[in-house]
Parts: sequence; C-alpha cells; structure tokens
Amino acid sequence: MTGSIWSALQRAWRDPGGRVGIVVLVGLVLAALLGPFGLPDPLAAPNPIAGAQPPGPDHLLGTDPLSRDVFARLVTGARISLTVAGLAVLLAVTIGAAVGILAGYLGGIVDSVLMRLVDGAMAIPRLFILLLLTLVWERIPLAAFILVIGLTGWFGTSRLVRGEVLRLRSAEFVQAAGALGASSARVMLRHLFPNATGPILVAATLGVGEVILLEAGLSFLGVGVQPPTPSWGGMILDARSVLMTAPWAAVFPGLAIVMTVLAVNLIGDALQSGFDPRSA
Amino acid sequence: MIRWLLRRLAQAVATFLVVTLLLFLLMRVAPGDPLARLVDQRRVSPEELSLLRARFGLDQPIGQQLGQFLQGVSSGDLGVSIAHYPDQVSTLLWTRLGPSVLLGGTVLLINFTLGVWLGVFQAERRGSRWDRWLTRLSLTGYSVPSFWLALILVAIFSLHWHWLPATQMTDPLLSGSAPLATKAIDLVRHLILPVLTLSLVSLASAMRYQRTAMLEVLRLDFVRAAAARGLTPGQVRWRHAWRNALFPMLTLLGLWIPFLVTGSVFVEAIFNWPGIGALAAEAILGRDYPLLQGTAMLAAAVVLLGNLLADVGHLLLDPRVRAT
Repeated sequence: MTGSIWSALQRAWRDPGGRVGIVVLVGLVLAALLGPFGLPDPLAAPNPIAGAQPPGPDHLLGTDPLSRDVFARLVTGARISLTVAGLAVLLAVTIGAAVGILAGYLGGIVDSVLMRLVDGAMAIPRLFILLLLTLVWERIPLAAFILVIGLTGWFGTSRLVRGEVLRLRSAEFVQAAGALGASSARVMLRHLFPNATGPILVAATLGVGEVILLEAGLSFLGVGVQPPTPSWGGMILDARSVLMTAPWAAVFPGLAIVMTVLAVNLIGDALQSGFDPRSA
Repeated sequence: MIRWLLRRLAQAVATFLVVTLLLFLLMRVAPGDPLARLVDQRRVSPEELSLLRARFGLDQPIGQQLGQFLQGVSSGDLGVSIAHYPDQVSTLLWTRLGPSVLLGGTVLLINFTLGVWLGVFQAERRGSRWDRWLTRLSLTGYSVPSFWLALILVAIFSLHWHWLPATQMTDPLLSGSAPLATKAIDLVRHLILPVLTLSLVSLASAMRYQRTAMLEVLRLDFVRAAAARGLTPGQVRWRHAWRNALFPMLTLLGLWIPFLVTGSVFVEAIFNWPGIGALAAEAILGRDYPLLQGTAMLAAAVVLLGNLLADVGHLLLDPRVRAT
C-alpha cells in the first residue's frame, strides 16, 4: 500500500500543477514545523493601544488589531490548520474505508442499514451538521473540533469504497483468496483494501482542501478554533473591524488559505488524472 | 415509468425519515438538554426553566419526544425559535426564503450560462494555453474562502470606492413610493457584490463538470460524422455534442438546487442579506438550536428534492432510462 501511495506521488510530481502543489505544501509543512523559532511571540500579550502596525522591518507582515505579529500568527495558524485537516481527514478516511469495505463485502442487511444511514447523513449539508455539533460546547476544545470534523467527513468515502469493493468482490483473485481459506477479515484487509487505495487517496487529498476551508469558515464564525489559539479563519474575524485601516491583517491570512487549499487541490487533480487519464 | 417514479419517491421519503432521526439524535448527543445550554448564557430562574422545559416538551421521556418531533415535522411544524421566541421556526424560514432564492437563482443562472459556455470552450481547445489557464483560474476560484473574498470585495468596492452598497438587499432610505425602475436599480446594485463573490467561488465546478462531460462526447464518432456532413461548427457543438453532454450538468443542477433555498451562510451573513443563510448565522450567535435544526431539516429536504428532480430530468431527457 505504501508502494501505491509512493507511485501515485511520483505521478503527481510529473504533472506540472501537481509539482507546484507538492513544493508549496512541503514548504508549508516545514514552516509549520520550524515555525515559531526566531519569530515574535504569536501569543504575545494583546496590546490594543499600540493597535495594528503596517508591515515593516520589525513585523514582516504587520500586526493585527491587538498588535500581535501577523507572520508569526500565520505560521502558527498553519500548524493548527494542517493538524486539524490532517487528523480529521485521516479519521474520516479510516472510518469511510472501514464502513465501505464492511458494507460492500458483507452485503445483505449490514449493507442496507449502513447505506441508508449514509444516504440520510449525506442529505444534510455538512456545514449544518458541524454547526449543530460545535454549538454543543460553549467553547469547543481543539480535540473535539477535530473529532467532529472527522466524524462528519466519511460518508462520501464509504460510498466510494463500497463501490470499489463491489466491483472487486467477484474478481478472480478475491475469489481465489476466499477459496484458499482466507478469512473474511484477511480478504478485506489484504486484498480489497490495497486495491481501493487509488480512489481513497484522491478523496483524502481533496478532503484536506475542503476541511481547511471548513475549518477557516467555522473559526470565522467563532465556533471553530478558539482564541487565543491563532487560526487563519479566526485572524480574518479579528481583522474584520479594521478592514480599511489595517488591510494586511485580513489579506494575508486569506492568501495563506488560498495558497494552501490550491496546493492541495492541484495535487488532488494531478492524482485524479493519474488514475483516470481520460478526464485530463 | 410511473412505478419507477413512485419507488424513487418512496426512497426519498425513507431517506428523509432517516434525516429526521439523525437530526433528532444530533440534538440529543449533548449532555443535558438544549435548554441547559441556553441557560449558560442567560439568567433564567429554575421555575422559568421548568416552564420552558414543559413548553418545549423536554420533560417527557425521549421516545415520546421523538414521536412528537416526527409528528411536528410531518405537519410542517419545526418547533419554536429560542432567539426569536415565540416565533415559529417554519414562519421564520418562510419569510427569509425569497431573498435566498433571488440571490441563489442569480448565481445559478450565471453558473449555468457562463460556466457552461466556458466549459464547452475549454473542451474544444483541450490542452491549449486557453484550456490550461482557465483550468488554473477556476481551480484558484474554487480554493478561495467565500467569506474572505466577500470582505475583500466590500473593502474595495464599498468602503474604498463607494461604488456599491455593502449590506442589506435594499436601501433603507429609499422611500416606498419610489418609481419601480429606481427600486429595481437599487436591488441590482445590492445584488452585485454577493453574486460576484458566490459566482467566483462556484463557477469552477460548473466549468469542470461541463468540460469533462463535453470531452466524453467530443471523441465519439457521431460528432465527427456530423461535422463531416457539413454542419456548421455551431450546429455540431450545440445541437449534437452539447445535448449529449447535458446529463452530468443535470446532476450538478440537482446538487445545486439546495443552494437556492439555504443560500450561503457565510456570504449572506457578511452582506446582511435577509435570507436563510443569514438566519442560520444569527441562530449560531443566539445559540438557537431549534432554528438551526429547522434550517438543516429544510436543507436536507431540498437536497433530496434536488436529487429527485435530477432523476426525473434524466428520465425525460433519455429514452434509455425510461425503458428500464
């Protein structure tokens, strides 16, 4: 399975757009990891009197209305955004793959019940499920926020994986594995799952972009990442009141979101056309 | 065909039942009950609280609550709003429907004319410089958070240049007796920025869908045959190829119909557009659970309706589907 991910990445690298995406994303991850070293404290005590200062030698991208360094907060925000997106998508894909394989392989009543539930869940726009869930907390903890995003992201993946499994179930190598005495669990994990990694990988990549946008939006609405933890959406919310006097405080976090989501979508696109060249 | 339709309808109703059940459970995953969360923020005496509990039926066993909830939903009663107490959730949604349909409808119209045209344009020039740049451009639009784009557009066109209004659907200072043309111009001026925001972020999917669908068709023999028969490029493009590339667009339209009704929470909230999306944003601020739940329910109903309409559309368009 690691092999197929590696070869998929190589294919994405051969696509010019995919290459740009990979370079940008790797840069972002590095920045998020090395982040706060040598930068002003992103959580520096708010100083509303000094207010927002324009970009300059002290503050590369200026400061926000509470006089905190925008660049430092962007970098820390990258860490938050990427962590939330990475963990939530990992959770969503794991659940989606498990449900999809179970439903597709076992069939019958298990399949019917699971898929009717998924039908229902998919009919409710994800934003509304998330709003209903995040409002349960007065101030949602980060771990709960990640969990909630992950738990609402697997419906589509499960459908996709189920389809792949149905297609593969009657394939000869799967039949042969069963005939040779492999247990159901072994057939599912060793034979069905590895062959469904392609579509899962594409769904996961595009899912990361979607989650970054969702996280930013929810944080902007005040029900996502809670202050003082810096998040790109939260930074835009803070900067909204000084849109005209300190535009840098709102412009840069938005650009960071666009850059990240675009990078992820470019990679997803390259992966997809790698698996399905006709759509290129 | 009638039987197929009935079966499809029954499926949609069954799915809606699942939705209702899920939304009911969603409200109950939290510890305590929805009112307990309200009390965190407001000063309510214990007596008032128990009165409110009785009013919202929260003092009854959960099975009975579910029964009442289902009964209410089936008769269009979505409960009472907390923030707009004692207004009915369904009444609130109904009064906000018009503006959302106006905004969403305009955006859909643009996406399904400009987006379709651009997608066809790209498919015919597959791999060219135009195609590549349009793909990149649309992918970028797709990656922009709508709330941020809305703020930037407001900053430029409203706050800096004072060209266009930044909030509301109509000018509150405009007298009710103003001539119709003045009112219409006022409305259009208020529409421009929200429509621009939403179109820029959503045009991409229409373009990409149409491009892919058109590519599938353009490689088929009958297209070449049509061109070989001496038909004009326009006839080949629209009468022959495009008609056969309509199918996926119909599916996309079905997916987008919900957007007509629920609008965009982010964009409506920023522009203070008096639609259902802004209502949902208000419900977040007021911790108005019943209102948010009702909005979600309405959204799900329209999602299912959109899917159903798309299926019926396929049925009408394609005799092959009709035969099965």
